[in-house]
Amino acid sequence: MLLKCNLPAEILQKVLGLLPHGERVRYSLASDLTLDRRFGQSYIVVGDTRVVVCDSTICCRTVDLGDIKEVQADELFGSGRLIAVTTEGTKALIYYSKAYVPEFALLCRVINDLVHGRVPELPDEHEPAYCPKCGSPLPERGASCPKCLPRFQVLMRLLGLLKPYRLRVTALVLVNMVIVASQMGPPYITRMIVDDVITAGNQQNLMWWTVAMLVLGVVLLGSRYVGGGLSCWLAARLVADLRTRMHTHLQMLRMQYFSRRELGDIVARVMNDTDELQRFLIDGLPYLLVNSVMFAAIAAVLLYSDWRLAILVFLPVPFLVSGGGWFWHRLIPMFHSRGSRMGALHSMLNESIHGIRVVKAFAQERRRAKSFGEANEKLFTVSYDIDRTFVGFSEVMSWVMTVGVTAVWYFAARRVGHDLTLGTLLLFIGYIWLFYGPLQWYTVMERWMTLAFSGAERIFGMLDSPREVYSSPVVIKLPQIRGAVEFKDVRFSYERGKEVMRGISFKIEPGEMIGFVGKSGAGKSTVINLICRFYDVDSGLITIDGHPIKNVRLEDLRRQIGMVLQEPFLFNSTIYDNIHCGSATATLDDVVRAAKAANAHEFILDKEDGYDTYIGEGGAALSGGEKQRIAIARAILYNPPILILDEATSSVDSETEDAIQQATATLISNRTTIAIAHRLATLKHANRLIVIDDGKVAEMGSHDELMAANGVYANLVKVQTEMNRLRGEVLEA
Amino acid sequence: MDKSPAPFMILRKLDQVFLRPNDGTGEIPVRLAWARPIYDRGSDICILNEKKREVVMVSSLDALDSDSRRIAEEELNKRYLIPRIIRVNSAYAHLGNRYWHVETEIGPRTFLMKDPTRGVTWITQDHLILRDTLGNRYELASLAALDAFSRAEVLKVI
Repeated sequence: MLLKCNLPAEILQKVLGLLPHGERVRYSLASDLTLDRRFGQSYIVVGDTRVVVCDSTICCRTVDLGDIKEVQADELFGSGRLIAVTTEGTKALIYYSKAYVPEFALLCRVINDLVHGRVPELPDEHEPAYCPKCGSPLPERGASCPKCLPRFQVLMRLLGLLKPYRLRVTALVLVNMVIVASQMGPPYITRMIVDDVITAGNQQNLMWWTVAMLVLGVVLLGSRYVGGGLSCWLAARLVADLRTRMHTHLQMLRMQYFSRRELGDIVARVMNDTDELQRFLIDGLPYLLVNSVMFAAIAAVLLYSDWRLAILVFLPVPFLVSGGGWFWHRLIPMFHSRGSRMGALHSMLNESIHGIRVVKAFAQERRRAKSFGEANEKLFTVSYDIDRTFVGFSEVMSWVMTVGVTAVWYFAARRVGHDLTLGTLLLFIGYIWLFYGPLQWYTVMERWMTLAFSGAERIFGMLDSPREVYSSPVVIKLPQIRGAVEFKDVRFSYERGKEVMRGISFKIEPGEMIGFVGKSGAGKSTVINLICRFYDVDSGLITIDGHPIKNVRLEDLRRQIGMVLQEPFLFNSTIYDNIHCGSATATLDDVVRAAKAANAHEFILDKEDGYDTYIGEGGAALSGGEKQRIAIARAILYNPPILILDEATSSVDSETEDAIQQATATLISNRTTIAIAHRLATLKHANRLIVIDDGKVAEMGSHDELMAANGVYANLVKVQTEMNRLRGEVLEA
Repeated sequence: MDKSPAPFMILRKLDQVFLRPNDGTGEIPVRLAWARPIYDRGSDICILNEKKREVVMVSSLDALDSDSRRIAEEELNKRYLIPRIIRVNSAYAHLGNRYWHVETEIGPRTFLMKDPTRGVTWITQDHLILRDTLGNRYELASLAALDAFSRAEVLKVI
């Protein structure tokens, strides 16, 4: 349970002694650093009126809640600490490593709520840094533990995905059995030819055995072809299904999922993990299946044919398996190392090419070449080590197998003519290679399977991540709104412990244009993220037309909000499609009307392919101003009651800005508009300005009112005016 | 950067550090930060106010008077947790993750690193700073000074 840890008996006894009589432990949390900042346990306990901190040495400190003005989670380098700002001064309460930052940030909020008489709200979800089962650190908070990989469950889930294709799966299993039988046939036929035809002189059977050999060859060829085709189809089908499901699911995931992960990791999950899985399903799984069955069948045939020789054949098995394991144990870290070094080289090459202008401008060519040479040399070393080890591995394994074969020849040849037929000897020799061959690869297969399953597990982890709640029985349908927006004491943090919105309240009337002003990182864009409900607030309430947004259908909410962003995202399609996506039912006339209103029609027609112009990935074929005007046209077509302009003109020149301003003026009429801009002049049409500073509303009012107040806004205006003046002087000079 | 004696004192009241200018103007609460905590800890200390704006930067703690220096050292020690690894009990890769079980100067620790390209900073060919997936740092002050087993374990995973 969140903020309730198991306190050791001696700590609990000590804590209860330090709390006022009869007081209960309301919240408790364990840290991984002691009070003198060594690795070890310490505990913070919050009672009704007092906070007690103890570590394993029973060194304790206490602070009364009544003396606390505020508790802060202080982020340090490699650790963090809770500090209490008290009437006496600032006191450090407890230290913790980065592993417990979210937990202590939550506790910090809870204590502050208690101090200020609020009822603490605890989140439902908790993402631990350590595996609750084995205690190992996790690759990321809340991720599944690679060491506790539930292989059987993953396998069952993968097989579950094959349910719609069960006929093909059955066919694949049968075909694999045929492959095993076909591979095992030739040594047996060899034995029969030697013993029955050559030794016993039954020449009339030669034709039958020869035909049987040829038939088996054809059957093997055919079954391998069919089996290969089936496994390729099934693997590709399964992976294609998975990718579609993942992509669909990705669109529905909460924004927190994306903000806590790197884009590369998410793409790798969709592409690389599925690739890995596909490779294993095409090559690894059939290999494992066929060879496991064949291994058991050959062992049975050998034992049945001559158990003493069979034992001789089995003798090198432990060496082959453990030898394979030993080599792979050595090779795996080298493969990892090669991967990392290859990654570093890729990154360096990427930088050298992308940053070629900077490299040349700062005369860095030789330095870059030297760095690349060093990184390349490291890659060479590890690549050479891998190949050298691999060659050694193959040769040693071959030698061990040869020892087995030699032993069979030596002991069996002496018995031929006595209690062993020449045919049986050749049967053993024929099977022995089939028997030994796959053994050395079993360890590799095991690792490959683990790798593929861990990829599958990560895929399932993504598919199991909570989606946004688009609709549920408790949410209501949002009717057509007028555009009133209200924030009531809203607190929010992207990452626990780093509150970016600290009790914000304001009200926007329908049809008003409101400008949000503040320094970078003050929390302006967060306001927008919260209005669109990309994130849920930590506490407080946001309403639209009086409806709390957490109680309305997400689709209804977002359908009534339009956005024009600083860097508008355009799809790799035509200009027409990019504008048209603002309204699925729009006609060409509607699209052209929107483009005209956005001052985009002329430049679109000026392009060779007009509205059919492909704009490339991210709108690469368009200038910044053109992209912006297409985004505005899209928003006009969308016709939302609430419009959000997030730095819509910040990255364009003055002339383009004028064109965009005219387009924007059309766009904002008769709708609630929320605008963010660094260039304060851009907000000259705003009815009111809300100044955000340090996660709080610092000032609110019209431009004139705020200038008269001579506060944060007036200061920002002064700084900007001065900068513009200096720029002007530089240009004139 | 000015190398003359610092025209201020560092004070501590409870767990808060203050800077008091020698000219008698009022003291202000400050926090201390190394300018280059990874590559060059030990010199260039920034003194920041509560709004994280730099008040002053000193090139070395030597510029401070003895009391100020002691307080500054204590404060920097508290702010920077980079435990030094003295032995590596085991280090291995499992499914692309590097697990480290180490003894540090402040106790035993287990941590995980995903990608050594990002997780290992080579200060020199012998001196490394490790960063785990959670953002904790560990220092390997000298690979050569480690015992042979520890060194072999480290080289397996970086």
